[in-house]
Amino acid sequence: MTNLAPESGLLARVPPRLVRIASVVVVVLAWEIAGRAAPRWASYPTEVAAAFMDNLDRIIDAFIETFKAVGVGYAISVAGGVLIGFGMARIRVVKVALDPYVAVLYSTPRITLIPLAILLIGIGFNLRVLMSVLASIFPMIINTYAAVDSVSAELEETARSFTASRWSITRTVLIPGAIPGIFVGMRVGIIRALVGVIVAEMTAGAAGVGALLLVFGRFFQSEKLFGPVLLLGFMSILMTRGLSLLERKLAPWQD
Amino acid sequence: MLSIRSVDKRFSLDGPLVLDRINMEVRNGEFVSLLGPSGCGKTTLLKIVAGLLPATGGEVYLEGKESTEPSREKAMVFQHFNLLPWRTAINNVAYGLEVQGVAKAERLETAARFLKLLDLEGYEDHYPSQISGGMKQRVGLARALATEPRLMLMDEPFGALDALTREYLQDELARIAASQDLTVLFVTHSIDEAIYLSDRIVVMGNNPGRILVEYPVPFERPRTSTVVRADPRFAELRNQVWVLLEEEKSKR
Repeated sequence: MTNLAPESGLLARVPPRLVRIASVVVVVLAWEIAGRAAPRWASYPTEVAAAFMDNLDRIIDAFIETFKAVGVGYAISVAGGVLIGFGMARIRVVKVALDPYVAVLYSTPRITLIPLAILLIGIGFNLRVLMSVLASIFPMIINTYAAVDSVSAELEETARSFTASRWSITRTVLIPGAIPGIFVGMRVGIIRALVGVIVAEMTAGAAGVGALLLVFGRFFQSEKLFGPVLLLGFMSILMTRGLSLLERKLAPWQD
Repeated sequence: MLSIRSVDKRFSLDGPLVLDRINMEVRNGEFVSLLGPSGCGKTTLLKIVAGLLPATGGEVYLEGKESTEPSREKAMVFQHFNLLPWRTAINNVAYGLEVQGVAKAERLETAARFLKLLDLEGYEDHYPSQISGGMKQRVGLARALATEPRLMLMDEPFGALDALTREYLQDELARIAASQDLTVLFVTHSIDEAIYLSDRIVVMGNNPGRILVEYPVPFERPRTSTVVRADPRFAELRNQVWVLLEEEKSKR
């Protein structure tokens, strides 16, 4: 945003915030007008808002259902990914042993595993958790691995010169040194975890926001579709922002 | 107090000899510089003494006991400071004490004292990224001093600093070495720095790294750099060392 060429004249003096608000207003208005003109083709904002309020209970239930799975899956991914990433970076055997699985699973489109997963564990809560773990654990593993691996060998040597043990090197050098990289993985991972759950819900039906969207779509209720989608977008922004705040708290030495 | 006895170093079994039968001593309270061209193995020798690298042959004795691992008796100051970026100045200074198991209140008190000794009062809560290179190395010095080692190992500690800061810190180190009665093994490739700071200069040569000659420095400590630099014996010694290093260079 800051790299835009300097402009002159009146437009340059309009504050960016105002431009942003104006942009949203113009698009929403245009959508409203177009939607009212061709109601069968697409819905329009006031209708979307009304439909959202009418279905609020169902939507909230679906979100709770979805985010329960996201929460469990993401927690498993963060804990497991950090442990595995650390292990791979520090213990040769672990890296050599796990490399092929990480490489193959990471490059396989995870959605192709759904039919197999359904056969193994059915279409309930566990399936959604599993898909969210599969979607989010690899960015956690890979970013943690890279972060630990890039902690300077000189800092380790420095710690050693002050008689730090292996464990105290881990605690005072490797863990703090890896925190920024781990947060990169966490920010990518939270979105992946959400997408993984939604994908599972859309393919295997049953419950959650994904299933709700499918139902609305099948009955051509476009006015009901937009609300939950926008809310998902909003939640994603909220979660990544929250992680950034947490990172600033835990790693205040950056910037 | 420190005794290096015929230390050899190869980095691999059939690799070239990096250090060839190094013998030297550092007495209590003595400031000894290891001076030599880059690649002569002076940093490698320092790391062997620190216990960060194993020697291929020979032994290192500290106070009569063989010393092959890092220990509380030794502390090191690094060319690139090697401060922990996630620790504030005071917590960096307290680092050595922390890994050595000193209680929190005590180590923070000690760290504050050494920050003060290095004129860093008021910077306790600054992160390394927020202070200048010269200040970082003051923190590095304070961190080593805070563990109150018998032997300070310094690896070109001022090599990464600009000329002016370097001279300030040399004065500072000279002052502290005298007041704290430090025993120092100091690696440098600056002849002036070696003469100004040390009691004795050990000159090393290349291929394989070995000791060429030792020079006692004919000035009493504490000294002031202006007095030392104006003394004709300074120019004479400087020239002697310089000629030796030039000869060594042309041999290769």
